[in-house]
Amino acid sequence: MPFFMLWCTIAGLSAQSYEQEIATIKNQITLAKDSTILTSLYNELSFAYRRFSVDSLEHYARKAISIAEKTNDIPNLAKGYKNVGIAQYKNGSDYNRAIENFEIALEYAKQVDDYATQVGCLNNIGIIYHTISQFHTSLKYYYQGLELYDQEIDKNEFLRGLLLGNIGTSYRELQNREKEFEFIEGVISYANDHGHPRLFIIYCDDYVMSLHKNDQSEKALEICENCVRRAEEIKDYHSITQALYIKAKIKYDLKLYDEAIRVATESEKIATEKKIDLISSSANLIQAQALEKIGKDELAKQKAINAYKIGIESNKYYQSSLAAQLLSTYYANNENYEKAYFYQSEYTRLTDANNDQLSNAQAEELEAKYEVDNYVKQIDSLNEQNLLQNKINNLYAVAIVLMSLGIIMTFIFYRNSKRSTESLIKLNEEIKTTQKELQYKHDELDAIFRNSYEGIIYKEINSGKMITCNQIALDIHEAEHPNEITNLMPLDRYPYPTVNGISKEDYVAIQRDTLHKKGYLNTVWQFRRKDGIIKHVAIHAITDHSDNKNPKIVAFYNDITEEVEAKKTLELHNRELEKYIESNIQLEQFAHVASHDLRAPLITINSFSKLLKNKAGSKLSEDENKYLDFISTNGNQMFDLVNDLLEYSKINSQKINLSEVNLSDVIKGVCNTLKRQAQTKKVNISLPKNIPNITADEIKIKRVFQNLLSNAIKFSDDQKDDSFIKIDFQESPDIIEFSIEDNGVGMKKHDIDIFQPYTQLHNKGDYRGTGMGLSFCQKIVKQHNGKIDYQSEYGIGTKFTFTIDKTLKG
Amino acid sequence: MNELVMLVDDDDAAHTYHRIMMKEAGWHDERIISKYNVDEAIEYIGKQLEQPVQEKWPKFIFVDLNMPAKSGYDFIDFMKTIDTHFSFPDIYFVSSTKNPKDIEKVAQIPEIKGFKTKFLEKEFFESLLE
Repeated sequence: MPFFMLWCTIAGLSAQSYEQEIATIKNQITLAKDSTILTSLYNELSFAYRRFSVDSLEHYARKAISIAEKTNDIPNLAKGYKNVGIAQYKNGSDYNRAIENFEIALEYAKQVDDYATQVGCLNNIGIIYHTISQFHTSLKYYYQGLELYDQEIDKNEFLRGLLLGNIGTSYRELQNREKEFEFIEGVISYANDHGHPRLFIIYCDDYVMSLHKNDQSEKALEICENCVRRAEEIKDYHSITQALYIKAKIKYDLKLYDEAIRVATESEKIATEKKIDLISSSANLIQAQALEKIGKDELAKQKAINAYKIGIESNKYYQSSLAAQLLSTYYANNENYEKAYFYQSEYTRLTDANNDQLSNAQAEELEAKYEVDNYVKQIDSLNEQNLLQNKINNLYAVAIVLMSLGIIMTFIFYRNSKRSTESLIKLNEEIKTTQKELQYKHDELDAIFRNSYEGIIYKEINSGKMITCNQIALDIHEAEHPNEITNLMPLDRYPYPTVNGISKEDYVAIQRDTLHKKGYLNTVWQFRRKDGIIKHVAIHAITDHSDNKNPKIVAFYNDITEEVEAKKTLELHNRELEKYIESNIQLEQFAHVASHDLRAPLITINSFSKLLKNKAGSKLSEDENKYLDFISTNGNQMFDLVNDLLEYSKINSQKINLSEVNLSDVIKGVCNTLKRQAQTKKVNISLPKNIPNITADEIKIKRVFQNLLSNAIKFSDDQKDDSFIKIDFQESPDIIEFSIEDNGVGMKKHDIDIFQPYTQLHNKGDYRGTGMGLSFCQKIVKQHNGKIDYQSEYGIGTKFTFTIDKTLKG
Repeated sequence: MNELVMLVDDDDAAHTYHRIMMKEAGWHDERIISKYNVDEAIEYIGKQLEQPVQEKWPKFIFVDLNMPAKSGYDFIDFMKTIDTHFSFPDIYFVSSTKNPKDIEKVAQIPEIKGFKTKFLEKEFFESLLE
């Protein structure tokens, strides 16, 4: 924070010039005859004290106010109240009271158009709000101040630079890097342009660290060097050493250890000479750290001892604790455990001391505040009575001493803990972010946990205690409360005494053993529910050793009853199908053998009945001849049936023999074969033109046309004079569809699948046939990736259509 | 007709029918020899091979493909082994069904003159004599 920075910077300077200034003013006071001049001089004196004596600051400001009130000297009232405000802020006693005084000063300054005082007050109020971390409010006052300054004040003074710098600093606290850099860079160029080196120095160290942390280390180093030069100009040794120390720290962070050592040595040299202990200790420490990194352990030890000693002597516990830690490690590495132990305990002690220092400072500050409040109250009452002016002064002195003590302590520990405060703020932000992330993760996991289709159980291994489980897990275990679930695989629920041939008790023991040895378990358990239904549940459990002392089990339950049932049904169907296939193969084999063996006796019957008819027909009576015909006709019919059966049984086992087929020739050939039958039935067959060639099994395709055409002829209507059969085809790129249409007798409505073997719609005697023809056709068409279908109307006619896949490859 | 014919078949009906048809075609009954299994047929051929003249050496042999014990193929295997100056007979395979496998197999055997489906009719025997 710039204000402390200012304090610190000035504190490091020789107070000589200010003492001279104060002496001069005091001298002027003794010579002053005019009360207005006197009042002004008191105010000047007060302001001159602001850098190193808060009590004098307030003391002279109050003097100025008391005179000014009597003389109604508004400009000096404004300045006086402003100075009182500064004093109150500086001793940190009561920020509200300080703000009140600044507000009063503002009012007086407005009355007399004293813009500089107004801007100063606005800046100071801003600083107070900044101090109590109300950065938005502080920005509001800074901006008001800057606006007023730019409107009313022409000169480019130090104050304007402070406003710019303070705005940047507030933005830094608000994590607005862009604005921070904009304003800090603004104040730096303002300082350069208008000759305010101190302004440059005030803001540069925080800015440099900001740049460094935001990966602009090179720029940071450049500014450091600039800062050193500016500080040298005004002989501000504190700032020189501070800037050099920061430079060393950056070099160290960048792992440029040699350079870090060189710069830190320079810083240390000046700091030691000017007795700036904090920097001296810090510079020694950074040298020790860097030396240790490059393996110069002995030198590192020396520097660490320096840092430790200076730190201890000047109560810089932070530096000395880190130095002690370094030394402890050093001695441990050199097996000097006695010393290692000593420094380790020093490290612990100093770390605690550092923390104590911080809290003590806070406590003392609070105490001081309390005391000061009391005294201020007394002062108020005494003031009212307008009595005992001397006593008031005494009380003031006491109060100021206490307040000074408080603020000095605060300051010291502010410096010490500045870096840790920054990292605390960062840490705090990180914690908040992490908390948010954790919450988000928690919500996410909770949603998954609750909405999972799987049951989830989380329990402690050692105690067996249930930590949590979701509703699905409760449902599977038929439990109302997680505590009711005691076993992952409850024995009493398993419906059978054995699992996979071993007793269920042994099985559970084996599974438990597996889980603990291998860390995971996959099994299926059956749960007999209260309603008697048995549920099959897949259990996947893993052990969780993320907490070694208290390992857990996570178990996932997946109800696979449906899958198990489905699998059973599928297996059953598969077995049935296998049986069916087997029986089908057996049937085909049987059909083949049977038909083959049936043929021989049938041939004998048919041949001999024919022979008998030829030899003895003339000797037999008409009835006797008819009996012989029955034998002959039925024998022949049986022969056809057996032949078809044989062929049908063979057709599945025969591969289709694909080749380029000239369909036109095939159809014409079939028509030729059936010519006589067609003529007998007076049926006219018409063929389409341009029948394409296709890839097919020629013999089989021929069979299809033959069957369908002979059927059409067979079932032509003798009553009609214009019996016809029309063969036609249609083509798409992949399919060719043939149709064979007739105006024959047609089929009565029926529910019979006419493509099944041995299907006949008519009486045995009416038409000759075995009922196998269409079955052949369907089989053959299917072998050509096609479909066969028909439309028929009784008395009108029938139309068969079938398709052939044109993409078949020979 | 003087050419000797040997019928090899386990089915008596086949012998009867074929004899009738052959007689109708003009064959002399005494020139038709019936053997009811392969072993009998082989025995007959063996005996004839010892004879100095061809008088009872068959010109045509009709062998049923499917017979119990030994099949027509066994008979062919034997016939392949004979070494004689007698002229090799015309051997026909006869079967009630023409299994595609058999058709293929028979085609590979040059010693088989033809493969016919039962029963052989008068017209076929007539054609043999022309």
